[in-house]
Amino acid sequence: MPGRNVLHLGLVAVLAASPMVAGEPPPLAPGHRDLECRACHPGQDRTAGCTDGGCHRDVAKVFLSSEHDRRHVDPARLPCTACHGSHPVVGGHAASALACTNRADRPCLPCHEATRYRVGRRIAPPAVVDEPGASVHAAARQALGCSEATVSCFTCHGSHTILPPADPESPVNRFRVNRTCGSCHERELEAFAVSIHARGLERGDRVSPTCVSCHGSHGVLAATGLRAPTAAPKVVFTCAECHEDPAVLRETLLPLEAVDTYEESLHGIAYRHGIHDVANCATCHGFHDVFPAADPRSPVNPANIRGLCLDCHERVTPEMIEAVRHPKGRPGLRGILERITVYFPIAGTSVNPLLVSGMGALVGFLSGIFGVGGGFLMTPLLIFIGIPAAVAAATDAAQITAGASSGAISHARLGNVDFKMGLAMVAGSWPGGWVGVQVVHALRAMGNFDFFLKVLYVLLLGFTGITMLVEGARTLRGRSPSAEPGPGRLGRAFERLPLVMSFPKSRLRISVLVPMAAGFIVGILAALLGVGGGFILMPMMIYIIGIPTLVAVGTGLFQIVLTCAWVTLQQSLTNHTVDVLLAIALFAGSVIGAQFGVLASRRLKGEQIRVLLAIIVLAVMGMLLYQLVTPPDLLIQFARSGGGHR
Amino acid sequence: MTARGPRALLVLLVLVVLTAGAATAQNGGERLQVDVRRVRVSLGFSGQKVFIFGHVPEGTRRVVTVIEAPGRGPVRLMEKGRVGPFWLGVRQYAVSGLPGLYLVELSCPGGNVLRECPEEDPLGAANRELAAVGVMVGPEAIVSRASVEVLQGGGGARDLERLLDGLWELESSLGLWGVDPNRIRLNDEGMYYFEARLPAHAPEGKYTITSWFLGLPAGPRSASSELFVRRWGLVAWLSRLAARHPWIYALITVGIALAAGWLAGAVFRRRTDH
Repeated sequence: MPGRNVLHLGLVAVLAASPMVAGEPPPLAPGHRDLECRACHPGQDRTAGCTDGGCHRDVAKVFLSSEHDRRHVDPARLPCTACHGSHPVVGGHAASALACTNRADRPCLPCHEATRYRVGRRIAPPAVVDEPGASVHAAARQALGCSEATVSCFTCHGSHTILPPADPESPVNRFRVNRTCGSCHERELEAFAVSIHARGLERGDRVSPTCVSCHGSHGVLAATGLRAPTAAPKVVFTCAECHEDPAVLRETLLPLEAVDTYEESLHGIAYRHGIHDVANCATCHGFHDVFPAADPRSPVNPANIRGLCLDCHERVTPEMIEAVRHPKGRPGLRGILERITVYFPIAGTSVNPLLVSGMGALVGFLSGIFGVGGGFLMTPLLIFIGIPAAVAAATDAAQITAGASSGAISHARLGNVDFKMGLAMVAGSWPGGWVGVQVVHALRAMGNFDFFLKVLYVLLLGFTGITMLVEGARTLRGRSPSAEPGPGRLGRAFERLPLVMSFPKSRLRISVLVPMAAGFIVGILAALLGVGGGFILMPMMIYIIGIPTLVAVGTGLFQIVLTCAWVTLQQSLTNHTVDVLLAIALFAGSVIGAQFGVLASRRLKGEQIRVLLAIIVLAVMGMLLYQLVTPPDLLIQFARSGGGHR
Repeated sequence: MTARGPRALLVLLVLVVLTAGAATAQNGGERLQVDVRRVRVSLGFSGQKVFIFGHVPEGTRRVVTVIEAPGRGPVRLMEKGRVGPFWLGVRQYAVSGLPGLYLVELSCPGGNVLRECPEEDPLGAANRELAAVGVMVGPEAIVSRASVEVLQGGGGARDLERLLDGLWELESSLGLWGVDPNRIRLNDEGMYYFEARLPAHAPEGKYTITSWFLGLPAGPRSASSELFVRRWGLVAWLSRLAARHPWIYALITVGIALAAGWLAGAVFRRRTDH
């Protein structure tokens, strides 16, 4: 063991220079009082004074397996006497006290402060320095002298068993250092032990902070000062070391914009501009006992937050809390999904595509069940999330094409599409759409197109909704037979018209002019209202023409596909208001939703479908009526440039 | 902080260079810089913050900065009024000469970041001083430039005043127009700086940014810079296709719609069959 031999040589060298060798009378060491001089100074042929003769062999063994031995520390610089002295030899805390009081003999600094050692041998950077302001621990030593109440290198790093911080057994290892600090700072450790940070460390989380992460290691400063990482001017930056570190955020479910959103809050703006007595991270979240906001013990838990604000503010309103709440988004996967935005080029704004697809799925589902395009729902929803009205109405036509085609294909497979009837309707709806466009132009020139649009909606939706609800409810209660409603009085009046044709799928023999007229009316209304017209067509097909409900659903979808594909073309050519990316986001949801809608429709009876559709239609009507009679937020508004299909 | 490291470093570098140059600055030292010259509106664009900074000439700490996007065609507006139980448009106007974006930011020597500017009517005071060089900023500037055509009803002076006030409120609610009397910060080295937020629906085009330095014995002086907001990549390509080749664009859209519907039908058919 060459290292050991060298160490022993070093011991001899040091001892040779000691006062005793120089001939001065040495004081007797308390523990060594009974020893003769030659027990430790046996002569030149002896290489060790402390371990030979069976003394201190265990300690020497531990010391020689420590980091210092592994790194081949020059033993001449680190003999036992460096810490324990020679005459007297001291042990326990007294040894560190010796190191503390006598800087020249301090065992750590000569190596850990000397650059030539650090560079060549990768020794840890300079440790504790003696300036009173360097750390609270150094200041305490200056004030209190060396005692058990003060901290030296040995207090944290141990003495004989010095291990590198990466070693799990080292007292300064990240998973043990809190206990090391807590051996003196018991209350702080007790508070920390229940925190979210401690829970992370218990799980073996390598990014969870320890005492050292926030307070530093050797240069621990009082939080009341200005330079400490935990002081008010720096604490946000200290927290940001982790809470804004991309590597940490990748590995955890921490909120992604906690620091950003704080900086954008009123508190953060002030903080960034040097006003440090405003609320910072620690003010609201605490410091040692930090809990997640969902934890009732957290000061920022919704149940506690008002009380927290009242600590600084005399008056607290929900608006004040909302103004500084951060981050606005949710953490984790949900938060990431919420933050995804796409810039839609024709709409000229950015929206979350997942939100758009979700809306498409909802409307597609209804389309699949009820055989309506869903435009009467989708257009207001798109406007609500910030899509310009003209783009919403035009893109909706493309969306209806996709959703309705998906539903139409499924219904065709189930034998629910009367193609002959559908084509007859389209023959009427296309010219009807052209007439509708002219009506729209005329109404726009007169102004108040929006008002007329809504009034028309309210009347039509109210009429069809109430009719379907009453009829469906009667059937469900058993007051009417569960059979299909069949053509009404108006429908029977069409029996005398010419061009009678047979529609076997619908089990009808009527004039082709009837479905064409229905299509014509739907075309006009579709152009006026900017929707596929399914919610109007459906009642007409069921109650006036007398088509069985399920066939009406399939045929309605077929007709809507053709009408809306044509409208999409016209909107793109005339107004340039169809946003293909927005449409794709809508398709992604609506085509899938429509399939589920079709599956659901197979489990529902015709009268149940009619009642459900009636409820939805009446709800939309109620919403529009409310908009008509309540004062708008802004009296000056952009006159709607879009609207009906051109 | 880590995420904004490069940008913060750039800004810091520019600030250091400008601070160093302050001593040698000629003609009063007024300058204006923007941290980005081009804002690219791509698929991920959701608005952008632009850092604007520069030197104030010696002898003043009062700055007004105007960020203005190019104008757009006539805007049709209507004023709603109550008729019976309903609220409907009672007047209609076409207004032209309006900027697409118009943000006026002021420094407030007596204010700080927490409080509103204590000065009474800081915009009015700025306009009184700027009148010497024939310039006006804020809502009054919009009014002076706007050309209003009455389409239906109204047309009186009060109607027009109400219209333009309402228009300002409407555009402000969209984040496109606004006045902040206490936005610009100044430091002891004669630097002024602030962050302007361009919303996601900020219009394309060449923006002009002009800073006016007030309170100088020789009258207001100015410095200006430009900023280009342009669509980029797929966003630009689709916009162009929709405008120049609407037939192709329309057929692609309808084709995708039908294909999506057919695909979903086919997928679900397989699932149902199984």
